[in-house]
Amino acid sequence: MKNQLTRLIIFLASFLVISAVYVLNEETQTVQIATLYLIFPVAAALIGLYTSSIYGFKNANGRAMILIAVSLTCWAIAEIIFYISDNFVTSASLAPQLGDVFFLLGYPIFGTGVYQGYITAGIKLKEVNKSLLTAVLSASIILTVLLAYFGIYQIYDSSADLATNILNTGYGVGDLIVVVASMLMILVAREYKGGKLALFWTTITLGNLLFLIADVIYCDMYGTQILADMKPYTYNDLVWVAGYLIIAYGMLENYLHITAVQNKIKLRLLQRK
Amino acid sequence: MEQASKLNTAALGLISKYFGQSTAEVYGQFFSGEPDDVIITSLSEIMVDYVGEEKAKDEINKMIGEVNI
Repeated sequence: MKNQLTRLIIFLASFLVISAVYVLNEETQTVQIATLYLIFPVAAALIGLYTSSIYGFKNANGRAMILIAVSLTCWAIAEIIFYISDNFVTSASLAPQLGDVFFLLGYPIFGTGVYQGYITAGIKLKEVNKSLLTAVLSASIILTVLLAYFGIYQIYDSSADLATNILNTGYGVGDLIVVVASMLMILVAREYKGGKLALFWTTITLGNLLFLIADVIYCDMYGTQILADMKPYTYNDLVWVAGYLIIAYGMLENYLHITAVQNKIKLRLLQRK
Repeated sequence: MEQASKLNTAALGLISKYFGQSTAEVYGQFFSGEPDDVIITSLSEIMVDYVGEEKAKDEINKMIGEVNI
């Protein structure tokens, strides 16, 4: 418990450090700050892959974890591509679009992972509290309608080519996947209430809801101001960072719990000998 | 003996489902030759911690029903 608190403090401290950097610097779109930002998605992906490796792919829970870790990896690769194209590539190239492809690829993989987690939990909808189910369904319907209108319908440009439209509206579709996935994750977390697995699914839900907020702010609301490095709009990056940190924290706690379970039984085996 | 072996296999299946293959392998060594009550107690202990009391009870009761103890 004491160690868990220490880890939580470390995660919070790292968020405070990057927040201070964003607040104290006039310009936030510099190589130094972009490098600092990049640490978070890359760390989340590495922690995710490391955590899921303990499960293997042959079991239901492991498949969910690995798919979520792979989606984090896709997002980290996209962030690396954006980082390189923003800071080191001067001529026009296909790099940003390649970054978009990796980013968009992460959404269906993430959705599949969450669906796998939902199936593994074996939730009986009849047994779920009716108020919770109504709240979850209502929120997902409202968000779906809003995102479909602002993130897809309004973004679609009939004069642009198909590839451009797929990339632009893809983020709206990705956000819809996150909404549906988040609603499923709330039910999964509730199914495991009182257990360590509930903490894992809660952190993944919170992290992805933060991604959703950051995505909507960037894609549908203040993208121009963010690209022009205007404050307070550039603080939107911190919402992404918070999302990556929360997910990394949940993954790490899950990994440490499984290794503690293994070590405990290994010790009992040794004592038996 | 046949029933104990069935319970052992079912318990390891449940451990593998939630904790992964490597954890199931370690528990496989621990469960070997252990009586049913020790297997069920150990399984309950880790399941309650990980999936919560209610879900652990559901899963273990379902497993016991399937091996027909």
